[in-house]
Amino acid sequence: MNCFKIILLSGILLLGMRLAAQDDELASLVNSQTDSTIDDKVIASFKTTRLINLTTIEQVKRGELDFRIAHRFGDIAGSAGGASTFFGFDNVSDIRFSFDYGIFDVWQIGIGRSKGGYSTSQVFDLNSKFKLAQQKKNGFPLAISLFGGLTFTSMQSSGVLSDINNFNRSTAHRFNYFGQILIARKMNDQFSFIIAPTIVHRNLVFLGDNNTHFAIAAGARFKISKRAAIIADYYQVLNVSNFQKLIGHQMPIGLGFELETGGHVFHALFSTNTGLMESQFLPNNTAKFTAGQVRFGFNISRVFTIIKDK
Amino acid sequence: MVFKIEKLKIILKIIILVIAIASSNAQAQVWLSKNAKIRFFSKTPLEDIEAASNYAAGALNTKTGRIFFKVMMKSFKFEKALMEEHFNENYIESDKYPSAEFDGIIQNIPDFTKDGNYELMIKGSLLLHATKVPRDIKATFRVTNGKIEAKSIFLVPCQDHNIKIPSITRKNISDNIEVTILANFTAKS
Repeated sequence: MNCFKIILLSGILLLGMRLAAQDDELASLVNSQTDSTIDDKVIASFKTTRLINLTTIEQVKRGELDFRIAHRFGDIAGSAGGASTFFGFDNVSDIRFSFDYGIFDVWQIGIGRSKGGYSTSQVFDLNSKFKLAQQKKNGFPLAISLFGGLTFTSMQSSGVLSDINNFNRSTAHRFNYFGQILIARKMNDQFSFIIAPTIVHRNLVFLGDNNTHFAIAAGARFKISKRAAIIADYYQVLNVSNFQKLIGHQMPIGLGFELETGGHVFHALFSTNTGLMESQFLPNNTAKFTAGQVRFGFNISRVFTIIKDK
Repeated sequence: MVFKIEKLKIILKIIILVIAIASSNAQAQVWLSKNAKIRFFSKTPLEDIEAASNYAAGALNTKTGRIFFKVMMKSFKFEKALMEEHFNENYIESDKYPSAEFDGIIQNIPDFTKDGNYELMIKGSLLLHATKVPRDIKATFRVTNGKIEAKSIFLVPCQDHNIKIPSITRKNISDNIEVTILANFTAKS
């Protein structure tokens, strides 16, 4: 009988072990079938396609249309600000309406119209952004995109030879171009930064000014809650021209508060520069931060789904 | 002597039985579903939100009745990219909590070798957004020609899993999300 018991017990034990092993196997089996590379993609480095002046690596996704309004008031303080202009609110200097559409998840095109504070800043623009590299958790550490475009002014030519808005000699003088390599990294849940080598080329410039300017831009977002963040960006022009030195050129600085409300993204911001396009604010800015020539502004972004993903 | 031979025979039979059970690979016990579909749906008067993943994985042990599912949160695709971003960033926090798991035991294990439809009760737990909640769900299993199809629809209250919906989107997102799982199991070879 002892022999019988041992065999029976060992049999039950064997069976039990087998079943237990199989059940642990179940979870590891499922784990081995789960494609964890799905999780590898780093998303939402920035909330929207732009910070204040600087473009981010975020794309308008395929089939979506991003309608944006950028708005800058006049100088808060300084000679053009103060209580007499209600701290700049009376001087709406810059407005840009734009539509950006995602052709693919990695490629968007955009069109915009800017109203500026001075003669050459009423421009149409066409732009395009292409995503070259995706940041991965276990892989490539950076997100890299190419961004570029052109601006075109439709305003009447002055016909005066020395004017910046004399386009009698060539229609090409109405065009300016810009290009950027956007390099970004989301460091953690809260903090992302971006660095962008920039080139701006203007066909018509004042005497002593450079046609081509090189610059380095830097920007960052710091999330203070799930839906609110502090954003900032800065441009450093590398080859400041004699003309710019003469007019007292200043580097564009922006600092803002970003709020997301489901469908809209709002930026309430302060910036030094006039002009909303790279080819305007980069070479032309003379607003001095220390002289109180800071302006209040806001950006609004609303994304519409044109083609639904199934 | 006769008695002893009888006893030996019984022992022999038991040995054979034990070996047979313990090595019964001929009848598959573990079934696998590689591309199970999980869909969820939120309905409010303002907005319907729907998302689906075709990348869930599941396994079923037909002997023990244990069933296990896992899905990566980032594999859910939405109609609108913005919804998907909000889902991952604001609600599910998929960078912190990348996957959801269901682990359960079938209470009324049927004979999976026989074709038919079975209404089964599964007692288990759902791990979502780092919160594990015990759940009893009903599922329909359909066995045909050595295939097992499973389907289950159940409600997941956001509150149970500590998923916070701010007042601004409260009217757009239902408190109870309807989840549908569709899985085709094949025997693991």
